[in-house]
Amino acid sequence: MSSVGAPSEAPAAPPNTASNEKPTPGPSARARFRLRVAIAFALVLLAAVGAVVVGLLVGPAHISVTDVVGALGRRLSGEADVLRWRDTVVVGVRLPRVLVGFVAGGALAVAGAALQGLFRNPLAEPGVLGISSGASLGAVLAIYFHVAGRAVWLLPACAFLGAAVDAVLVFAIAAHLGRGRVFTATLLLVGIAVMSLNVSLTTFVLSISLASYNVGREVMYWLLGGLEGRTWDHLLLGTPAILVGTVAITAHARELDALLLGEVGAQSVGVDVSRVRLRLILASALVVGAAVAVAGPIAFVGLLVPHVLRLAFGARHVVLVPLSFFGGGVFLVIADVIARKLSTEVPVGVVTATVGAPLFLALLIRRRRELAGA
Amino acid sequence: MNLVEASNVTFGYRGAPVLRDVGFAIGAGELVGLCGPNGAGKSTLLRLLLGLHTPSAGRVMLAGTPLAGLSRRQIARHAALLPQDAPVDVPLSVREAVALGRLPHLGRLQAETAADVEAVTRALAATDTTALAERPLTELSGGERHRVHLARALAQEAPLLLLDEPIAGLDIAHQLAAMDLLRATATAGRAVLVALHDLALAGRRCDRILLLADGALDADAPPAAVLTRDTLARVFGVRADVRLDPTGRPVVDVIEAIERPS
Repeated sequence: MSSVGAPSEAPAAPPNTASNEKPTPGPSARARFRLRVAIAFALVLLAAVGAVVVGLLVGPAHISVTDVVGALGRRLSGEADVLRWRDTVVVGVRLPRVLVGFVAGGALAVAGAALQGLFRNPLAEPGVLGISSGASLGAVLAIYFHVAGRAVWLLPACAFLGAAVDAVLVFAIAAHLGRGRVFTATLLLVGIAVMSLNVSLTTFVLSISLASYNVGREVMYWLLGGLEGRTWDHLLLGTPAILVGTVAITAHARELDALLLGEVGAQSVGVDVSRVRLRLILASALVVGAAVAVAGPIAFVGLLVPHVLRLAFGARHVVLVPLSFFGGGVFLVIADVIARKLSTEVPVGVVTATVGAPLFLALLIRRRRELAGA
Repeated sequence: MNLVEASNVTFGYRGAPVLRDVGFAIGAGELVGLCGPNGAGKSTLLRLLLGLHTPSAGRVMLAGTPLAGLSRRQIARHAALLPQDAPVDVPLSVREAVALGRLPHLGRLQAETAADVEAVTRALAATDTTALAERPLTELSGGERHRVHLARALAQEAPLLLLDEPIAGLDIAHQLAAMDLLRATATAGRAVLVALHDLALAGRRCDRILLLADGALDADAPPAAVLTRDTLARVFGVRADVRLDPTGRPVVDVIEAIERPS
């Protein structure tokens, strides 16, 4: 840049006297930002509609676009007196599956965006940090101890508790080891340790639950989860918590931006870091708990989606977090379509991991210098 | 009125004392240098003034209000800190990073006002970073990034500006420019406390120097009274030539270390 390092241009003007050189680029920069945001949202909304339509069209039964439109129209107009099997497939089977997948994928991506900002680390993700597996453990314990049967919201609540405990635990240990700073290597290692513990405990609970046929079957069924057989009840159960958490995270967008300046930098601009951190960890645990409760643990959505969106549209969280919701929804719905298309049904987590794990490794390799030094 | 006032401030990390019984006050219009050898407690003192640490004894007042009673946001409207080691990998544009200085002035869902945009524009111009405004921070050189962080602190428009080694990574022209900027900022009615290693520059530009040695305030006086041959030998362990220029400011020329610093 031409003006850099030119002593003759050196600043001597007191900051309170407005500079009269150069037309102020402020408004045009804002206009460009708004345009970029508008394009970004137009693209993800278009992709969202496309993904939902594709999700409704794909499956063992042949359903055409006309069938979909007809089924939705008849459902919305309340003209459901004639029982058509295609209507049942669209409205009763595929639509809830697609929508559950959408909100769960959105939730995981939103949590990923929040955690990546919070830890200043593109490798942070609910799966990698052991938060998803914590939610699974919470859910499985709820089933084993017959808590889940008492009220329908207790399973998501326990998944949230498991997720929240693990998120706080992982962060506290990583911060303690780094004397207040959270290093990539420590964060990942602590996450792996906690995840291994969660997986072992989940397997343990599954093993002892097999002593009773009913409980064992229920635990097993939940663990196989995925998006198969999701109903409107699942959607109603998961969505409110996911929306609340997403709105809460979006409302902290400026604080998340400020945290990019580092802890002291954020505090200097007035962010109460420990309080904001706790709120964001709990909000992330809330959306992950809800997503895992209705769709099972699905890895790498939270890693991939915010990362790609950040590269494309910038790191401002006021844009990144809502975009991640839609992007995550699209990603998981499409991954589920691919999973259904692969000969017999494959769990959707297999597809997300196949795409996500290589990206995770690629990011890891790009940060090798820090990892070697930490 | 004093914009910041510390009285009998004592602080330690886990029992190891860092600062002992430090007291001083800085008023509007003053540019004060904070000097002292490595480990003397300069960074810790700046953090105490921003309420990032709580003194184990004594207290800090910001514009006459005890720090302990202020929220982080209230503190940020009163004091801006430029930390020493800002992160390198901030995925924001220069303008976005500088605009974060406006955060304490904005409500949670409030959009930036024209005043906020102007403050950012002014801060960019003052730090010679206007031409970099739309570039990602990650693409800048270390010195450029340093100036951006300085711009962020300026954009905050707090009456008290605390800076931890703001010129360490700058070339000589930008060092002088930055000091002139701080001088002008103080003259415009703010209070500036700046930690400096460059004693010559501190002597030439500051109104007053706080000299920290081993966690205690060794001196709090105009540069000519602080930067003397004897003091430099005693506190820094260096042999230096000090003469006064025609305006009575000390010109410091450090020649050699008297003893290896331990």
